[in-house]
Amino acid sequence: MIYQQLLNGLVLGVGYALTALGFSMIFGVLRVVNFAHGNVYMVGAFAGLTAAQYCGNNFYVSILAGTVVGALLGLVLERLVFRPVRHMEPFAGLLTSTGALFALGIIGMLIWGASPKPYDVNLPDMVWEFEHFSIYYMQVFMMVAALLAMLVLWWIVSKTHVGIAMRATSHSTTISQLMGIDVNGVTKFTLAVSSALAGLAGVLISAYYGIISFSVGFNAGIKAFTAAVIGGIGSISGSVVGGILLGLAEGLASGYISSSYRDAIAFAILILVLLVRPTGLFGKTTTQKM
Amino acid sequence: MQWPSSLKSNLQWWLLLGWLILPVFLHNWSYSLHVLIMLAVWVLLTQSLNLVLGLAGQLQLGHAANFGIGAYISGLLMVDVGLSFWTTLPIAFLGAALVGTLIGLPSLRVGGDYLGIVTLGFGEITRIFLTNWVSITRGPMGLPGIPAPSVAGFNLSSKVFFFYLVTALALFTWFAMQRINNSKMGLQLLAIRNDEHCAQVLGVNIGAVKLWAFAISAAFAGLGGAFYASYFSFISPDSFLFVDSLAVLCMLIVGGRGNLVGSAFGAFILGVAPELFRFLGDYRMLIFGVLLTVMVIYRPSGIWGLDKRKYNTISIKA
Repeated sequence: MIYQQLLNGLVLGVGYALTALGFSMIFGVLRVVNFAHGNVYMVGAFAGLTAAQYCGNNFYVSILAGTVVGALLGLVLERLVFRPVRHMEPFAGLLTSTGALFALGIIGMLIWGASPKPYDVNLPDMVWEFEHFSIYYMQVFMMVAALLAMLVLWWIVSKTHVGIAMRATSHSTTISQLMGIDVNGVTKFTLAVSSALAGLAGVLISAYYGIISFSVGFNAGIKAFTAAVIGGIGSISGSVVGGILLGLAEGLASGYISSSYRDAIAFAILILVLLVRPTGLFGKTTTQKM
Repeated sequence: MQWPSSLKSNLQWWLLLGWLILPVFLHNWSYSLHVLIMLAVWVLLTQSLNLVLGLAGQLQLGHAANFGIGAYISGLLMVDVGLSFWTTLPIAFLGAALVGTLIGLPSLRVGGDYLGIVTLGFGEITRIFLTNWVSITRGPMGLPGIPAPSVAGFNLSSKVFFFYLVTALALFTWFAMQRINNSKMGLQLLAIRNDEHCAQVLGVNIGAVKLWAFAISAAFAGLGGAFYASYFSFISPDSFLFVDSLAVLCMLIVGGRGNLVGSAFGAFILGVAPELFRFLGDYRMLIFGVLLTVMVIYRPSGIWGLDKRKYNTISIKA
């Protein structure tokens, strides 16, 4: 049983890591907690479901649609919600994105209805049985897809021109601007990529659970934040490790304690990490200048 | 417009008088009275949140938990122990203050966005415990049959009585907050909001002041919670959600952070408008969200905010 729980936790954790990556990138570049991230996840998942329904419940179509819609939504959010408050007090972005969270949630409910819907996509019914546990096709697919997405992201951030610009911006917006970096462009790119990851995660996790409802966004956003903070917000490898740790902790907790306390455990871990090591496991300790 | 000077200087008293005799003039009596009672509860909550968020600038996203703790303490003591409402009121006050101090503890170490998420986490943990600790709280089914307050053996369950009770509580909160606002502590909180390090250098004991602010803010919210439990005679964990914390936050932002008149005004706009625009149905929350975003972008200080504060620059005489 423990192997099965660990595996389930790992798969869930990979999903959390995907959401957390986008969250962490936005924080790294914009210094803003994007509360609306969870509802980008929700809209991406629903968009994927709708697209799949027009294409014979094809799972791969829903992945593509979820990712693209996520990216577009990210661009809209950047223009309407984040750019106007870039020079304001620190938590202005959190407040505006909270407004966006509300608005997106209601828009999702108006378009796709208030009741939970089955996530009808065609998945191969393959199962690999081992001595202590069994793996479903979906679980393998999720891990491979997430791994690919992470590799692409790592390549973008560390090898490409725009990736270097992103890292420079996250260091100092002012100096990057002086160096001729188009900060608006970098911000747009960051939001698009992060939100695309959220949309992808939405499709993958919803297909894994087999159900979707307009209210999942809030929780998804919280999980992403928790994972990002555990790993050290702004750090890419940190988010991956944080997401997987969170997934494992939840898998074990719901197997051995009670699944109704699953969310409480995530929050307890979050508060503990913030109190003991606010910069997270992989975050750099920064000295604040007076 | 030239106001008669006697009216202008006494405007608050005329408004208060108008509020107190308002029940006489209401149409659709029961429903309107209910809207007014809820409005007073919202005013109480915004006033108490204003201390932490408006004055001290600490992002507190779990205010509904303080409210819920007060409601559950009062409700459980009345139903299970059989105490009277008046006895549970101070207990709820102190209990919520205790929990508020706990919620405030992380503010000593983390600030800004992080604190917002930690307080949100505390709020969610409170809700999860209220839902799952079935043996004490009755779990998701809620706690029914909370009695109304009684005076000298009379059970006062009429809406008019509740109206005057909540008015008294809200006025008490307003009065206390105004005293704190204009006191040394209020100025210290304002200093923390403007520049925490600078305040510390100038000798403000920022840890203690912050914790007091969290405790006092939670205590008054607990008072409101005790009233809420008795008024509805039924509470469940679903009455104290993150959405409610956000609603209070919206009222504060729209009305004006750091200003008591402004935050009451925000409670009035966002507390009454949803009742007036009930025909809009689900679009109300959409408007709520858009309004929050638009206000933060175009008028971050709110309709009647900190820039209207009476003593913005004050010289303290020793």
